[in-house]
Amino acid sequence: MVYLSMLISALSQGMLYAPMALGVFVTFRILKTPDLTVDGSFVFGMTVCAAVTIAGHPVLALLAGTAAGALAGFFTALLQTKLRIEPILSGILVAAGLYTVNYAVLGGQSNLYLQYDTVNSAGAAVKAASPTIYKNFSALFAGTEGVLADSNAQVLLLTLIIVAALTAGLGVFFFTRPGMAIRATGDNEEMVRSSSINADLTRTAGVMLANALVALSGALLCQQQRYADLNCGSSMLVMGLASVIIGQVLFGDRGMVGGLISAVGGSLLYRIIIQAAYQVDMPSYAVKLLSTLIVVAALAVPLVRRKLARGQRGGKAQ
Amino acid sequence: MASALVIAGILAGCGSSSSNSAPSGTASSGSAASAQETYKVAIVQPMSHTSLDQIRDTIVSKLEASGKSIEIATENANGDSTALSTILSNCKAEGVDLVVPIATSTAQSAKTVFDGDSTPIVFAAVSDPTAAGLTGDDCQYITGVSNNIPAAEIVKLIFNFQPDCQKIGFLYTSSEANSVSTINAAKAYCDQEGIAYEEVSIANLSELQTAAETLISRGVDALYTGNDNSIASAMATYTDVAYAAGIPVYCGADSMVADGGFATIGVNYVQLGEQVADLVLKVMDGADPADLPYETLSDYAKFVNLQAAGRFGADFPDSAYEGYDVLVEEDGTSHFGA
Repeated sequence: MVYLSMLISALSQGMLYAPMALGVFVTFRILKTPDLTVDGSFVFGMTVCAAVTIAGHPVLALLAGTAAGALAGFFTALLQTKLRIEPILSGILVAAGLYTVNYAVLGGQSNLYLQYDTVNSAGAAVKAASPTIYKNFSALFAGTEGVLADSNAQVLLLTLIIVAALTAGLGVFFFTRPGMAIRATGDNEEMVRSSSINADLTRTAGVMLANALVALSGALLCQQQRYADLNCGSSMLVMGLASVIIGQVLFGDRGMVGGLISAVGGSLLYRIIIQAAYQVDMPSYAVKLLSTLIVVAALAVPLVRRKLARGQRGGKAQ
Repeated sequence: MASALVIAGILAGCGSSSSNSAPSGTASSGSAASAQETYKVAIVQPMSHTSLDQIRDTIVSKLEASGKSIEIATENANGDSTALSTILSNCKAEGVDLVVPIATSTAQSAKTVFDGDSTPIVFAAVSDPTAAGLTGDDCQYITGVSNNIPAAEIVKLIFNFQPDCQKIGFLYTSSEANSVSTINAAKAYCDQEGIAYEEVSIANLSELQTAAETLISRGVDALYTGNDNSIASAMATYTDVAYAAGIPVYCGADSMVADGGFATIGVNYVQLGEQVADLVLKVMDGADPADLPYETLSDYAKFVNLQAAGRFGADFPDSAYEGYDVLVEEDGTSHFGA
């Protein structure tokens, strides 16, 4: 039971970060361009979502957060395509600038809790928790027994529905004309240009889509944890990359839809690894190194697998 | 497939190692007690930092010294904000009896993770528990100790040395949120108590000298600057102007006193840790957290710089210095960071 609840907790966290992994997948695997906007756009989604949630619109808040990420992606793409700044530097610059924007969105503070001022039944001024999609969703399960009584299980279920819809939508989109154009831009930009497609436009669309996904992840996390904090974006990109690569290692290169699904799977597995690492009996400062080693081990799997396969063939030849 | 097995193996290995041993960083006391009687406390901090570590160590030593059968697990997210909820979920799954989150976002994550659970949460070092959402109707299992320095204490600091102070001068950098909020609170308190004050804000350090001179020309008896990182880097300029006019400079950080400020009042992290440990013991003995409102510090870290006192020609009685630790001696010997 203890392990079941830990597993559900890890899966629910992994699912919250899955849109971020999808976003990283779009830039790294489809556009084949590293995008370091992620650390900033994740928090941008979070802060905008927090502000709109406090105003009393939880669903709109997710959309607003997502749109904020797209906007951040637009500026990164603008630096890349119009000013011809290196993609890595473009991302770093936008993420740095977003720090100030995020600070301002939170009203000049570093942390904002999802609550609003109201008056209680006794007439005293109090703070009440703002409604979030997760709060509204778990209200449906009031009085339920069993696994779904666990709040993490409810978070997992709702996020799973969102991520499944998102993955399906992306799967379809990347087989439409605009989706194919974005994929072609990543594969061979010269060819795209010579086919008289505006590659700057497709690249911009791709980077906006990626950062919109990343920001949605930040927005979902904001509503789940019920606060926005400026420090929540640190090492987001590393986490997203690790998720994408772990997913690819485990599920292999299986085309576009397979790639999307394995990014989600990688995100889930990454959180399970981290949760397990914190379970090992050792000082918690050692967890960073252990989780790094586990990720490195996962990354080494394809090479080991190839070597083993070659060894077997060699054996047969003799 | 092979890779899936490798990962599964790693996970299984981790799982089994924790099932028969305590969580990471365990320091248990009262080993004679049976597992049921041992009270499990988890202390969770977001990162390592001198003051956060000091809070944690104080709580641990105070709880161990209580002689009660307490099993303490100390957890650290090592600066990875995504790990907070993972760590707290582990604590919850392991069935801790009480959790001590250190700092604001840790406390907020604890509230979310332990939502709908009756596990008491005793937070440490949250500067504004109300703004952080830790005092509402849904917080009946939450109490703790805030590290906020009330504006009244700042004003008391000034009146302790200068009971006849007629007018206080506030000097701050307008872009520093912490500094501005401290000054705003102090101004509100002065308005309420009918204490006269003047204020000048600067946008950048080149305006510091003019700003200080402006305040002095308006006849202030004391200058106060909060925990202002810009002005902290230019204490020499600031104090040269002020001390030449015989006006003491009070400030919001011990480092600023080490750099020439006269006196400060700040967070005493050992005191904070002790108050948190006391709350933990009370809850452990059966007190309902709902009946324990969050506390502010009952004692503060107070420092003076005697060399600075000589520079503006202080003639305060010895009694005024009671309870203050000397950070810089008259001859300039500094005890800062010692």
